[in-house]
Amino acid sequence: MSALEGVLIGAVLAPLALSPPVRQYAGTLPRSARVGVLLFFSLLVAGQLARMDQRTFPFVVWSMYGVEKSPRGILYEQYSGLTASGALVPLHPSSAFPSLDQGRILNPLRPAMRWLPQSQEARVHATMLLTAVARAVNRGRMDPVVTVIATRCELSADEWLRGVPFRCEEKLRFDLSETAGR
Amino acid sequence: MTLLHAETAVEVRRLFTVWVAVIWLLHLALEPLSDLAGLPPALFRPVAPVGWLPHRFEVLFLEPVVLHGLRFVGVVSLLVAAIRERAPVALVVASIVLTIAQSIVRSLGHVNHAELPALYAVYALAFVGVLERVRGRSSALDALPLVVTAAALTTTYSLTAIFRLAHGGLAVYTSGSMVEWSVAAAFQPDEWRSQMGLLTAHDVVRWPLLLSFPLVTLFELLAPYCLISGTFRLLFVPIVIAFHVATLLFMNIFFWENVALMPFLTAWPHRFAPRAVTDGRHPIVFFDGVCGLCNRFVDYMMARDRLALFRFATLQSDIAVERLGTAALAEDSIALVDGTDVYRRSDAVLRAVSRLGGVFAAAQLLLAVPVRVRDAVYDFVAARRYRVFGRSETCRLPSPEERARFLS
Repeated sequence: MSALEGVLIGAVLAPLALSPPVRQYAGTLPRSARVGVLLFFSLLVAGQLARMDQRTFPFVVWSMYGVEKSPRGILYEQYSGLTASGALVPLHPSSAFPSLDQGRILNPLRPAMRWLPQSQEARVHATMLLTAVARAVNRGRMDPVVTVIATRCELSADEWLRGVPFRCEEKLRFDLSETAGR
Repeated sequence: MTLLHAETAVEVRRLFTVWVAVIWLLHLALEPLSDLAGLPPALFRPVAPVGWLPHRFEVLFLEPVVLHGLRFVGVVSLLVAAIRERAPVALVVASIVLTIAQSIVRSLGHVNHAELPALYAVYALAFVGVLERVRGRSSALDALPLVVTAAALTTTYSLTAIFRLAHGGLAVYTSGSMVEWSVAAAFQPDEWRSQMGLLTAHDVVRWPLLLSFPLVTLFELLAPYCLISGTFRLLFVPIVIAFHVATLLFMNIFFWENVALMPFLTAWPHRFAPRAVTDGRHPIVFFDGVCGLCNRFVDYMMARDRLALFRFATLQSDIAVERLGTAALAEDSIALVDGTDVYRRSDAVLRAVSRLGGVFAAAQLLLAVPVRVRDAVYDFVAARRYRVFGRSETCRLPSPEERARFLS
């Protein structure tokens, strides 16, 4: 939480809350309704300032495009699978888990990819998630994926604007047979 | 200055309830939940409130039977909330189930925001439903779900802008962040992804994007003022819809639930409030007085005609002969006389229903179906109305309460 953020929230919301139309309408509501509404908006603001999304959900920090991107520049990951017949197919985690779109599976994979191949913990994390993705993909495939490959590419924005190709590095490769039962 | 939605007809609140229910039903259609059963339990860490449970209980939410059950209860409670006039219990159940569902889809550590204003809308509807059950109805409470949802939706934009100003500062706007976000999104490993982010290589695309970012932040910052300024709303809504479309095309992120709620950041839904008759010229619904189906239709209309807009008369009455001619009974089972206009068959049914306002106004959309098709369906039902719904020997006699609305 920052003092500036608290002050700005007060500066925007307080004049509105105290404006004649809002006060007039609030005056027509029963006391229990006013208390409920006040509690709701207090939780909304508290969730913003507490910075503990995991514990305060569904009252969370609203921070989209709020801070400068990392100095490492443009980063993206690619996931693919080698099938039993040797074909290379793309793996789309959000399509394998439709309930986890909007970055809910891609974003948790990203930090794990960052610390590969050095971190054992990151390796276990990424392997478990990508195994789940590959198994979900294999459910509808005659030629199943047997090996998973994860690649990370990066480039600065300036380099990209100058047409420099991305630097890609294979970060993880494992056979699904290694992860049987996980 | 007046507060947006402060004067909300019960029919508009009902329209809002159905609107929110449809958003969530679509959501549950797109997010099956059952796919979560394939996640590794070791990584499953739901956010609150499921995340407040010990891990051994949390992982129960990975069981297919629990996931299917959640979805089923969610769908049923939303359908009940959409169909019934008042359904506080269904709305409370929907609030609980949707909160649990949203908690478990954020179980891998990334807490995104896409659905939250729509979830707050369900909370507001459930809260007011319970409050009415305890304290009784009031017109101020009819407005509350719409007011709270509009305020919550706009506050989330404002909080986002404030965070950006307080923590990102000028660097967010002046660095290459926008280009990096757009290009990285173009390579996102998704089955469908827009590649438009790659166009930021061109000045003609990049500069308008960079320049519009602070403008959008300004509108986000002041978003809650949509509640009291019609002029600001007029600017805010199209700008923010354009912003969401741009984030879809350039960042591959789309808060479609927010866009779906945008009509309720305007006064547009109030166009669907029924209008009382002030000149004494009430539309008249003529119906076959011995037909079981027609009588049920009249009961249905009267129960929902809060402003006593319609007058009713049987086709067997003298006034029907006077207004529709002697052949009326042979030709019609329902007819509508509205001023000097006479509507028959499907035209009569759809126009009468749509004048009830709120969600019933959607009946107007069916008028776009070719009249021959509509009337064929009408005739099919009308030809079987006695056989299926029964026929009485004498015409309906209005009850003492109904008498003022019956012309014969």
